[in-house]
Amino acid sequence: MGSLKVWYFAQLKELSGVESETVTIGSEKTYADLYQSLSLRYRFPIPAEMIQVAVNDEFAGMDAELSPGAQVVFIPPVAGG
Amino acid sequence: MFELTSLPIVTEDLALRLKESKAGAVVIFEGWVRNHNQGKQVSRLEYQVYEQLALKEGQKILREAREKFNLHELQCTHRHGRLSIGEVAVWVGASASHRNEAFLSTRFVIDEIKHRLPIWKKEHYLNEAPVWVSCKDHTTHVHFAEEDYYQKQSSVVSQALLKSKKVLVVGLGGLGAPAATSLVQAGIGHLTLMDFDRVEISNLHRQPLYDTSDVGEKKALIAEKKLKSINPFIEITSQDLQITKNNARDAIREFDLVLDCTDNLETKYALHDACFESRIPLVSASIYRFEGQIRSFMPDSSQGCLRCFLTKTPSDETISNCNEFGVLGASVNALGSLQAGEAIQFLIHNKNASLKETIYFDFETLSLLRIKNKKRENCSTCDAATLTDSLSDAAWDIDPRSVEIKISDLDSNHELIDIRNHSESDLKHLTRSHKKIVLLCEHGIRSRRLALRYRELGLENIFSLAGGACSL
Repeated sequence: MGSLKVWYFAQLKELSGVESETVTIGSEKTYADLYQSLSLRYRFPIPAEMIQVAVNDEFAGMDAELSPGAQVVFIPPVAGG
Repeated sequence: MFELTSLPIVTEDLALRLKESKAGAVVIFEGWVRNHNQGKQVSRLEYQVYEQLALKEGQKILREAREKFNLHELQCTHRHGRLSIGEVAVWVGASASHRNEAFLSTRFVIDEIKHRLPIWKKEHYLNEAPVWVSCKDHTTHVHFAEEDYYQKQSSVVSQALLKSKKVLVVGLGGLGAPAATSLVQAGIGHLTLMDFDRVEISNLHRQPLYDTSDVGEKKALIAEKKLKSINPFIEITSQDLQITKNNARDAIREFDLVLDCTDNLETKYALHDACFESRIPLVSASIYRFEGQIRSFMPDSSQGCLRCFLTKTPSDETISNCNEFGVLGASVNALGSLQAGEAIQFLIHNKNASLKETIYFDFETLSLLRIKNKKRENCSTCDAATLTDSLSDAAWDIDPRSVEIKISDLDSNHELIDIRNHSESDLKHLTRSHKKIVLLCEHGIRSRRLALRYRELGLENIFSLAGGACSL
C-alpha cells in the first residue's frame, strides 16, 4: 500500500510522544482518514476539521487523496501569545 | 487644588495644606529651573500660559488623580512669567495613608501636567538667542533631533515611508510588547496599541513593557506611556478594547497594517476575517511552548487565508493558551520581534517572507519548517477580497449595507441563490428573474460585493443575505 512520513506539532507531538514516524497506509483514503486513525491510536482531542495538513511542505486539504511517500505534517490550531 | 501664579512659589505654605492626621505619607515634587539644557547654558526661563484652559485642565488632572489613588490631600501649583535659575517652576504634593499612593499620585500629576497643560517655555541662554522650546514628549523632557534617532538604521529602511504608515497592534502581551517596542523604535508614524487586559504579576516573566509597579493597571495605557518615552517622534495612541466578531471591522478600518499578537483563536479569527473583508494586510503569530509560528496575509493577493483548508473554525476549548501551557519569555519575545520585522518588510516592499510561507520555529532546537501558503479555489474568504474590481466598500456609490437583507425579513417574494458553487457567468440569468434575488455565500461578503456590482449595473432587485450561510 505504501507509507508516509508523518510529522507532528504542538499537542500532537506531546500526545504521540514522537516528532515524526513512518506510517503504513491501510484503508485510509484521505488525510482526514489518516488523522482519524492516528487520533484513535494516540487519543488526539482535536477534531480533524480543525487540523491543518501540509503535504511535501505545502498546505493541502484534509480531503485530498493520500500520496504514498509524501512528507505529511499535522498542525493543530495554536493561539498562545 | 490646582493654582497658577506669577509670583514665587512659597513651598512651606503649600506643604501645610497637606496636613491631615490620617496621613502616613507625604510626597512632594518640585520642578526647578536648571542652568543647562541640551548642552546649552540657560540663564533664565519664561513661561506663557493659556490661563483659562490651564486652570480647567489642571483641576481635571487632580480630580483624575483622586479617583485613581486613595489620597487625603492633593495640591499642585504652576508658576508662569519670568523665572531665574533655582526657582520653583512647579510644585506637586500629595498626602495619603500609605507611601505607595502618595508616590504614584505625585508622579501621575507631574507627568500629566507636563503632557497636557497649555504652558509654553522660552529658554534664554548665556551666549545664544532665546528659543521657545517645543517639547513633543514632555514625560521624558528631552529635546533631541529626529534624524539622530534613526541614524543607525537609515541605510536599511526608508524612514519617510515608515513615518507615513498607520499600524495597529492587537494584544500587548508576550508577542505584542516586544513587537510594539520594535515598531516604535523603527519609527512607524502612527501606532495604535490595543488591549483590554490589566497587568498581572504572572505576565511579567514574558512581557517586557511592564514592571511590578504596573500590576493592576491597564496594559494599553502603561504601554502607551512607556513607548512614548522610547520614541518621542511618532504618534502613539492606545485603545482599551476587546476585539470581537462584531467590532473588528470598525476597529481596523483606518490602518495600513494590523499585527495579531493575541492569545486566543476567537480573536484571531475575528481579526483575520475583518482584515480580509477590508483588505488590510495582517501579520499573525502564535506560540505553543517552544513552537512558534508566523504568517502574513495580504487579502487581495492569492496566498490564501486561514480558512482555505479548514471546514470548521477552531475553538479555544480544544486548545490551551499561554496561561495554561507555559512559555518562556525568550521564545515568545523573539517571535514578537520577528513579527515587527515582517510588518516593516511588508510596509516597505509590499511583501515579506511569511506571506509566501508559514514559518514554524522550534525555539528549543532552533530548527524551522517552512510550509508554502496556498489558496484553495473557491475559498469564500479569499474571494471576497480578490473578487472583481479592486474596489473597496468606500468606493461604491451605494451604501453597501443598503443591499443587505436579514434572514428574518425573507418571504415568498424572495429567491435565495447560493453563489458559492456558481461561477459568475452562471449568474447571468439573475437579470431575467421577476422575484427579488437574495444572494448567499459563506459569510455574506462576496454576495454583498456581487449584489453591489449588479446594483451599479442598474438592477434594483438584487440583495445579499446579511451574515451569509453562517447566520442560517
